Amino acid sequence: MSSGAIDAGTLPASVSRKRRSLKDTLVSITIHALLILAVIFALLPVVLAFLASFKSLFDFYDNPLGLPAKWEWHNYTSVWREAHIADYARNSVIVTFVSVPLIVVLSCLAGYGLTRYQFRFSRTIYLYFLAGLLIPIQLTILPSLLQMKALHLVNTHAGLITLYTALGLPFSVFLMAGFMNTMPGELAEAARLDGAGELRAFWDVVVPLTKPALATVAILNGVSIWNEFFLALILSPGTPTLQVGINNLRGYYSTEWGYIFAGVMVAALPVILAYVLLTKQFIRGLTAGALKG
Amino acid sequence: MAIAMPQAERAPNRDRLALVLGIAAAVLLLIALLLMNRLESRYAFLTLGAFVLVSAFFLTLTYPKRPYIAFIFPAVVIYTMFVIFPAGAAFRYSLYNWTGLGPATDFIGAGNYSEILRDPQFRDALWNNVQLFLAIFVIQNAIGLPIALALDTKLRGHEFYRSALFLPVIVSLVATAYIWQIILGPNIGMLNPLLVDLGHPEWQRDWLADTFLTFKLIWIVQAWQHIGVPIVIYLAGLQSVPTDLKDSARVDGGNSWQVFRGVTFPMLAPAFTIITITTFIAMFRAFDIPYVLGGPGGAPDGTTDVLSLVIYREAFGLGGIVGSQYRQGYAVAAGVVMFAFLIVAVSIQAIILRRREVAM
Repeated sequence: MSSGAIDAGTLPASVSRKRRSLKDTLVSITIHALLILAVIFALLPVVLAFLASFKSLFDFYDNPLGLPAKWEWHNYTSVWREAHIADYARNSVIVTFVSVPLIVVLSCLAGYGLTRYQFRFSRTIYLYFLAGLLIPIQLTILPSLLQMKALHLVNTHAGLITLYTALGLPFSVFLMAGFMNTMPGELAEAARLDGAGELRAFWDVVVPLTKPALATVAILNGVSIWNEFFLALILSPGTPTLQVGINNLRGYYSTEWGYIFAGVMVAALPVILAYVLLTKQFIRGLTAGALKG
Repeated sequence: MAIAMPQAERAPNRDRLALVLGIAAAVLLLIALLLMNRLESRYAFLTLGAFVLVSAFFLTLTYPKRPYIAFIFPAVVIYTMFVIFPAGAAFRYSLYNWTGLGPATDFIGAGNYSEILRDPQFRDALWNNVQLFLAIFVIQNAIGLPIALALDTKLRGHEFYRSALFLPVIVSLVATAYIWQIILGPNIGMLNPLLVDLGHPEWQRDWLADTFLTFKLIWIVQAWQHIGVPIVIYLAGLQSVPTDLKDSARVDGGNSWQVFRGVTFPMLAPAFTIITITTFIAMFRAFDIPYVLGGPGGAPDGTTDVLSLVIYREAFGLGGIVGSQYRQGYAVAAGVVMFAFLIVAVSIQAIILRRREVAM
């Protein structure tokens, strides 16, 4: 960070220190100014959209940048009742809050089975899961759609839950197995020797120790399922999640942007609030997710 | 002893029975999946029921000696059914002239592939994906990396800066596209009134319907949503650089740039590899923002088209327009080409970047 290292040798110490501190202050002010600019760039669109969700149509044109002249809570009640946002929100909540526990449980069991027992095919099965990280949804979506048709799961919550769970597994198993590999194995051994059954040892000893990894898996999958659009658009236009639903709003309200932004905020704010409450865990979970592939 | 004998004899029998049941379960699952692909719903359900029953017996038999089978089984089955099998089926469908409305019957061999290779829309979309990746690559290294370097100095408020800059990552891409309408949109966008206020009314335009500019603006919107990830990964990489290493380089008379170039940057090589590859994958899968801002046709004039939009459009037409075709065989073949391209490109990048990591 300091850039005064070179002149230190050529000038008397006191002069150099004074110059360096002045220079450092200037550098530090510039860095802060640039960072604040970046933060404004990152946050301003969200803030403006939030304000816009309370504006009437006239307000948009009269003062595009300012606070709403009158806070139109009506925008929210209207989209919630008339534009079926309540239904979309229910769909999103059901799909997310069923898929995530399923992924957590299945990947935790599989990660445990793959790392805590020695058997011939454990490495092969682990690599079999890893292969899934390379498969893009664009490759599997149409065959999956046909499968879902055969199972009568198109336009149902169960269909979305099934596919989100299956698609979430490879990376979650990878994370869980990686975490459990770093865990001391003796604890579960000890519990097993004490006469606890396999499941007891797993539930009483392994699960509590795995909590950080479970949280990472839950957050990563929760955010990506809540925000997912491509699969939901294709598989389930009849039971739209919020992401598909807010895209329908444009057809419903055409240019009534206050309503549209109210819908967008219903889709975005729950995740933003959760992020504000659990910032560290979210950053950890989502950067773990970035390592996919 | 007399009691132990029959037990010892029964054990191999039990193993053999378990093996038979396991194979039976696998066969039943495969049959069920093939029935699904032929849309034989009733038989598929019956076979699936039989599969569940046989699996239950299989797992009860194996659990006492091999509990890990039961631990792994559910995840393997669901993953196989809904990820691996459809991926395999995709290769088959790509050889058919298939509408997607029923089972595939019209076999055309490599017809879809040879058409894709000659298809200008596919080529243009692929080129757009490449541009999108290059743009984000430049932005995350020209802006994201300096931000990470600044935050690494632990200056006052660094945690706030990091949290705020990461926030767009958790905003969905659909919401992102809508949120940016408030800046770029033709009716409500703030950019045009702002330009008037700044005294440049002649700079106003319809930012989302400009054949030259709109796609470039999509780069910026994608970058806005994505850049928190490289910042945080670079930051984690920087924090693994030992400070004494940097200090000793500085004591040796290196200036900030030399320290960065000679010490910090080489240590960032693993982070650089991860960020480059993940950005590549993300930008090749891009769909939501172009879909919301440009529509399924890549408006204006196909200039915002990307591979995922081509696949979507070929499979489902242009959103309810009468007479639009459903060419899902072609779309699946496009998916296969995309998959092959991803695998090859990512492998090449991984090899080159890994070698660089070692070389430095």
